[in-house]
Amino acid sequence: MLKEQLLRLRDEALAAIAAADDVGAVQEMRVRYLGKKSDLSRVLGGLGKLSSIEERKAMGALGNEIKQAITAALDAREAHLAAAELEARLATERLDVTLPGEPVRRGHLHILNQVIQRIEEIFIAMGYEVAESRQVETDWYNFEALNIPKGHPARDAQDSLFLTDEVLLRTHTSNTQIRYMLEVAKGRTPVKIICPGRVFRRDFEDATHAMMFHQVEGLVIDRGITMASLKGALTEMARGLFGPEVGIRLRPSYFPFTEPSAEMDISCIFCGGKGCRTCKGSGWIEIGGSGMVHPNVLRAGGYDPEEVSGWAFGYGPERVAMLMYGIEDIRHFVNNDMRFLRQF
Amino acid sequence: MRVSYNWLRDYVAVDLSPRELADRLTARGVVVENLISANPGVEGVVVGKVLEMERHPDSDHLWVCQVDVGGGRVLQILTGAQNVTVGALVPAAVPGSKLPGMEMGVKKLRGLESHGMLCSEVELQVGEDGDGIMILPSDQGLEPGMDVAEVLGLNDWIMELDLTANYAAHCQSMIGVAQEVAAIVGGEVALPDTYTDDEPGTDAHDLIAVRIDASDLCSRYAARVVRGVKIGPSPLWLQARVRAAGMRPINNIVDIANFVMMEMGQPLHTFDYQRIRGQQIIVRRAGAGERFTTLDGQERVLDENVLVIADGEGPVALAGVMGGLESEVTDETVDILIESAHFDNINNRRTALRYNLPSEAAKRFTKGVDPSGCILAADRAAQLMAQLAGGTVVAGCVDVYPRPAVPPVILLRTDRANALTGLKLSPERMADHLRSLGMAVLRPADLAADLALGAPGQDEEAGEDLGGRPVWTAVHQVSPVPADPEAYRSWAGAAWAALEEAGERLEALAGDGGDILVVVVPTRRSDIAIEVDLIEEIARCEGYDQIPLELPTLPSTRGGRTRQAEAKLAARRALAGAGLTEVLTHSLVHPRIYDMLGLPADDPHRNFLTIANPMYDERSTLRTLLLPGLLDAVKYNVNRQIRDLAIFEISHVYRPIEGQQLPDEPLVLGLAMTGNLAPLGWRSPEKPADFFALKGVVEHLLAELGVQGASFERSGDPVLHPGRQAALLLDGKPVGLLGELHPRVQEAWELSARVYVAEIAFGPLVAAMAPQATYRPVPRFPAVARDVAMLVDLDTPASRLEAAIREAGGDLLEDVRLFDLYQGDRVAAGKRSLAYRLTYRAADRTLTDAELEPVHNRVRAALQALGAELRS
Repeated sequence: MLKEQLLRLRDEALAAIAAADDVGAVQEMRVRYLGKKSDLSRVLGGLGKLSSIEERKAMGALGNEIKQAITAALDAREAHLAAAELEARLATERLDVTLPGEPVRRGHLHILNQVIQRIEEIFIAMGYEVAESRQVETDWYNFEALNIPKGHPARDAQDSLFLTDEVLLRTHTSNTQIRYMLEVAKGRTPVKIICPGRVFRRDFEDATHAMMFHQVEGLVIDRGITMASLKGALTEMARGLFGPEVGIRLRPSYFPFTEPSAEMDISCIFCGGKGCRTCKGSGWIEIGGSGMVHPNVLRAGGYDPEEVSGWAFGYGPERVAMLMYGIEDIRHFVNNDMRFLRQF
Repeated sequence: MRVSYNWLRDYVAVDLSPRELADRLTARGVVVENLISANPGVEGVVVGKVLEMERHPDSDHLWVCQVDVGGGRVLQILTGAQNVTVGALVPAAVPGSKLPGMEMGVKKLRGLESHGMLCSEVELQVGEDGDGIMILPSDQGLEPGMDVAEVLGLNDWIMELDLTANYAAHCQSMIGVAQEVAAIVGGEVALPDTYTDDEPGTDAHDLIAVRIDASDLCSRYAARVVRGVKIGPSPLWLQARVRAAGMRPINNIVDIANFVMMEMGQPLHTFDYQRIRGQQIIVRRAGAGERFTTLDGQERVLDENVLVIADGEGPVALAGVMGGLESEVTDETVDILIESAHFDNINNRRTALRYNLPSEAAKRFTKGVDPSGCILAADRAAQLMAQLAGGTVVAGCVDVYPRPAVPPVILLRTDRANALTGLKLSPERMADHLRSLGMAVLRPADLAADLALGAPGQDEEAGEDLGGRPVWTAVHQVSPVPADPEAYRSWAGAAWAALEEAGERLEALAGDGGDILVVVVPTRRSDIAIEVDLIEEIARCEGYDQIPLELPTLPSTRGGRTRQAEAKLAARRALAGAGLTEVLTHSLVHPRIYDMLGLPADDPHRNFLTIANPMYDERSTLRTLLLPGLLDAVKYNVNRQIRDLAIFEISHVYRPIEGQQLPDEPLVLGLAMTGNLAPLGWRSPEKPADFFALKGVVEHLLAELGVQGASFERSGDPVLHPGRQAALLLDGKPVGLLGELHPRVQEAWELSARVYVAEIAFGPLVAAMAPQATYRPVPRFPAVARDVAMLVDLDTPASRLEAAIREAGGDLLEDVRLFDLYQGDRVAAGKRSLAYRLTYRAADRTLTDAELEPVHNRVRAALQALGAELRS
């Protein structure tokens, strides 16, 4: 009798749970079928009145079994419904992920400064100091101290913008060599500097000429410095800028402030040295000048050329940037056209 | 400099192809910029002899010629030119031959066949005469059938040299280049013979007297006289040489002068001897206001900066630049005075520039000419005038040589050469290289032997009995020695002094240990004066490619940037990170910008530096402010429909310092913003540039750099909107301005949208940077937030409210943020509503309400004291 009552309660509960259609209903059923006031609790509470111990035991066991079955059914149903509800919510939260993201305003460092910075980093890693100096300069620092006396033909090649007879806009960054030697190093060795900066020439402006442009110059002074380490440093620089497969070569040339002097070429970055239009078939691209510091320049900087030697090199970061990116007109660097600057 | 491959081979035997030779020269520093064929495309054109001519029956201008083209072939060739005669030798472009841009065939002209054509200079591209057929000379052994390209010297290659200043001097002649080639191929240079049968009885000294009054500008003047010349066209070979050098054949005398200049590098001038008045030449400075007509017919006004060649009555030439109309060689000239002189390069360049008279001669003097070569060049010209113009050379050469050039004697320490270059060459190898360039290389013992014998006697004749002195002998051999006894004496004095000086240097080097070479350098190598010059010669002869590549084994040092350079980099990164684009504006500006900015007349920024020789007005002064350049950049882009801009630059301005030669060049940071700052997006609101967007960027920058002690204060700069500008102060001192551009300035730049700008001195920012961030322990106790909303008078500045809050809040107040601001219809006129969120926290405990309440009440009271009407 009692047993049938229990089994009926069980069947009724399981059927109701199976029919529950949301998590809330399941939670209500948990109270209704398992709570203190539930029929099951009531029936099981009355077991004490049974006379037969055996029957009491049997009914107790059955009651627990039913309780467990209902609990399991409730848990399963609740988990199932919760999962379904989550799924349903997620379905409604679907986005068109192909819509563009919220744009963040992107700033840009000037490409030329990026290139200069890259050159600086290459040399800083080799222990060079970055040195800068003035742009309005005296004739002595810009010419005389660099072994370019008055009347020297090299002064013609570098048509200068003068403020007075003795003061001009520097035509190269080489004044930094002298100022560093005299004002910073003061006879100390070694000197290892890299000098970027603005320079000025009196020139008509076109795709390859500007009145204002930049140079990066390097200077090393110590005992026993040779052209061999110049080659090494230039090779490191070229590889740092253009990639590990690039080689350099030095060609005899002339600069008043170096002797021996050398033009430095890199193997053509476009054809790998096989010869193409950019390198005019030679396989080499001219990058800049270099050489062993002229004894007169060392003396002007307060060093004894019998005691120390050094080398220097210099080139235009504009040219490097133009080669790297295929930029066709040097004027882009100062036109400040956002359509240019925002590409880098 | 144009170098003909064929011509070069007159002086040195070369097996290398023109391309190989060009590459080898370039590798040595004698840069062959272009290698071009001298033949414009003439192929198979032959010398033809006109046998018969008759008029074309159907034409009033065509001639029908029967032309012997060699090999027994006679062709009928029609021509419209009127200068052809029977018997004339002409270039015949026979069928199958080629002219530049065309191939010949058989063509019918008014019914008659023409087998090819006869050619003009223009058709062969060897001259400018296109009217008549080029008539070839009949007296130079030409036969019908000869290859015209060969006859005209077109089968040649031209190397165009791009010479650096040091090689420019000695490589601006065929013989100079030949010396480099000889060094490459290991050959010898064969100098041309200059022997002449001199006219007996007379001597040049009897015909011309030379005086140099300005020996500072003219170190040597030599003159020879050739009489009885007949002016006429040069022979074909000479014309070919002149053309190969890039010049136009004129007549035999001019062509010879040009030829010798190209051959030896010595510019010559030829005068009509009969028109030199008073039989004398005076080299002097012109008088102020002296007038002179150059041979181009221009009258020139001279002054004492100009060196002239004068005769007994007045100037006859601008020395080394251009001759005079009066003494010019003409078709009637019979007697020639050859001038072979050496002029100062600087003065020469100035005169050529001043009168705008660039010439091959002036170019050479500018780059430097070897004074030792004067006589050889005069002799060579005289010889050719005798050979090719039928002249007779008068014996003797007048040679005035007040400042003789002597061969330098340089000591070369061989271990130093290796130490500088990184090469490992033996002294013998170095000596070989130097000898290949025409230098003499001896040993210290040789020099000692010379000096032990003492100075040679004053009476010794030139070149004779050099007394067993080895170095002295070499000094006589590397360069031509003056023959004139007086010139020789002064030369020998200077040359011996150079040798003795070398001896002194040698003594000073005694004990140095290493091998020393004594090198005697020809005077034509004016670029070589000291030891390192020789080291470069050795390195380039050995080849720079032989220098080993030594990967950095330089002493290790701690590299890096200065503090300012590091700060600049950090600032640039911060600004780019905040979405600004870096620009690069010009240091040189037009001074009108200060008017456009509306600066008062006494504004210190109007004190700028001016370029004395500007190229363009737009680039004639040095900027004292970055702002105008930034506005130019804004305008440039706005004009190209790019209206949303946020740009910056950190760069130098230039400010004169009273009483100082050089200006201050401080680094300045400039910003400019206009338009919409938020990129266009489908859900982002527009973010128009305004004062607070600008100020936010500045504050962001200050925070990124860790600048301490910054504050802002209302300012009154005329360039900016009077109500929308602020000064940035560091520890109370103004270091910059930010604000909205004044509408008048905006107007001056023709900008339609408002622009927000800042200009801040960068140095003070760097000085105010904290060396590093300050760490405080991460809080362990919770914070309490309290909001305060209030109504205040419009003219109560927010900075005062915030200062009052901070003061009253004391140590427990951790942060204050304004999070709402309203002014408008919903609040009373003259008022605005502000709401602040205050964060309180104690480092060592959880704050209780009881503890917080009195503090917060103090804050409220402080605000009320400022007239705030609290709303919460």
